[in-house]
Amino acid sequence: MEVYAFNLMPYRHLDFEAARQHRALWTVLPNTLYDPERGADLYQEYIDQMVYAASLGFDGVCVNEHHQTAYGLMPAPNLIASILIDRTRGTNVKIPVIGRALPLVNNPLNIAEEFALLDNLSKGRLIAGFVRGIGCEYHATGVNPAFSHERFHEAHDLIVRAWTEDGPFSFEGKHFNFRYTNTWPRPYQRPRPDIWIPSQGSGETITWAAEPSRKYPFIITFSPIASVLKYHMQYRQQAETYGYAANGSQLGWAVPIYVAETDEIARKEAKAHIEMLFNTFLKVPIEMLFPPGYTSAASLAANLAGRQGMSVQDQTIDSLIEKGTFVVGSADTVVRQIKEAQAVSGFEKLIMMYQFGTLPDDLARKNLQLFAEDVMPQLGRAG
Amino acid sequence: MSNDVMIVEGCSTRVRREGQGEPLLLLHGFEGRDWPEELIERLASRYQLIIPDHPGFGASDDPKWLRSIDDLAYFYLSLLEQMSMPSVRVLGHSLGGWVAAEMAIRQPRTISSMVLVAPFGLRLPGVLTGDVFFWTREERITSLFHDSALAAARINNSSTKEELEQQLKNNYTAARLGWEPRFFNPTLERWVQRIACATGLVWGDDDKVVPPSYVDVWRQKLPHAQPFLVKDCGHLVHIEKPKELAEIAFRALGES
Repeated sequence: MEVYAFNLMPYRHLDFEAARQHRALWTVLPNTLYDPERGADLYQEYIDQMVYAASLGFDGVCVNEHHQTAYGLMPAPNLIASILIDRTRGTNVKIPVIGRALPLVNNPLNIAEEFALLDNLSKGRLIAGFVRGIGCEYHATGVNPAFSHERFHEAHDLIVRAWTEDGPFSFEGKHFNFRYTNTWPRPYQRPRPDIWIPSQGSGETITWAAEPSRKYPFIITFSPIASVLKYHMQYRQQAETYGYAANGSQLGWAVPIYVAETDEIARKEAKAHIEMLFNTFLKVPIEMLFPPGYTSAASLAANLAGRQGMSVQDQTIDSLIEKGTFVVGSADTVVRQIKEAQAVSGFEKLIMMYQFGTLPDDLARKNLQLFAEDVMPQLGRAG
Repeated sequence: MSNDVMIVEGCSTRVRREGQGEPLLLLHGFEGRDWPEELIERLASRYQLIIPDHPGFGASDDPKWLRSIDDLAYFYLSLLEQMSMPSVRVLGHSLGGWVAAEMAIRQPRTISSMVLVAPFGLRLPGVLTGDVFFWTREERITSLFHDSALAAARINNSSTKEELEQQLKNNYTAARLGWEPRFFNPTLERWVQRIACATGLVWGDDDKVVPPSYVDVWRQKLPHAQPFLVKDCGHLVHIEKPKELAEIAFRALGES
């Protein structure tokens, strides 16, 4: 199994009492609640943690993109990736950027260029994640959610062509038009960097990602284990429909994990921090989370009818454990849960969100260390 | 009365017809067709009403070509051609007022007179329109009305599954047309002075979606337009003050 460490880089020093006066930690949370001195230290703390993770034997360290929020402090994840690349120079540690939000930019060639540059800087250690961004980010950027899917697909096509076709060539689309597409530098990897598709799960996306010319690894993020496995199996089924058997490396699970000396200690240490992630950082009114067009009207209707979305109900550590949204416990407990899930779908990519909510530096590091020492060796590593 | 289905530009379009006389086209707002019967009856006493569901709204199809407000304006010009109506009166509310203005700059002779009720379409720098896509359901309903009792009744009235699907359909189309720039067209801003027909500008004095100060932008560009401020009224003038709106329409649209 491939194992990656992931950090959203939340602003864990937030004045949560003040923050709760606002409708969400997204878009309208006043940026006066960000203290640059504490924030600057926090970037250092998180970057050092990820370099530490790289030294412990993780296959890669992942960053991602979010805008106008305390939930994740990386509006430009490639800047962080660039630092990580340099601080892991000479290793074979991968740097997945999972991902860049393609529909949110007006010139996707910038993303093609930046990724190609990172691929050169890392001598081929970049993994390129493509996402649509979270609903709030359509409020934050002004991009029309009605065209989110169109822009995603068009930007994807443009970027892949820019990496794999000889330039210059022209590109004609609905949203993007370029007379000259001629990306300098070209990516280091031939024909191109690996592409991952992180998702909360959608039939359309699976059909698209599993298509034989793509076979993109599909990473289900922060979902109950039942839906993670359901989507994994759906991907496998889709692959069979296309006439091939999906490889386990095409399936990924991104999940908060916390390991400690015993189950009891682990729960005790993680409780406040994981609940802060789900009940405060992720608490977003449905109108912000699902702007019109971001999802199909049918799936939004289902969501409205149930109001069961992860963002609307308060969760406890127990409910998160029960649903398998959070994996926590002693090394043996964590190994058992991962292996049980793996036995079902055969996924081969595990993205460990080792820092979550307000988890402080010492616990985040202990988590990484115990995971690397006591869990990783039991996961059937190729390495 | 009748409920016709017309095929216009390939789009199956629901069009209700009422009354006799010269034609008056009613263009509904971003919430979908919600004209109260009281208003319909009053207007139908003088005019032949053409009351469509916009493409992408209500019982009409959602055609692939519908991507911006321009498409909706050209669609209605086609609809009127198809109905052999070279010249009509128009009453448009909110999004529908915006469509009327877009039609009028493209083909000024097609509209003989019009009433724009709290129209979108122009920008008043520094004064934002309400963020209808950001508000929660409760905030949105509260912001549509002046009369809090009307708002409370709508808030407490839970929608059926079908109504909910309809609301989502309407909201999805409204976003496609007006998300960015938010319910505003820079081209209309540059060409709005092409509107030469008699024009009434109606605003509720407590409109929290398109603030009443927007009337100044329109009057600046259209000095001939006649403003009407409706007291104790929010964005949904047709629902809160149907009688007053009918009287204003009769004055502004001219005799049939």
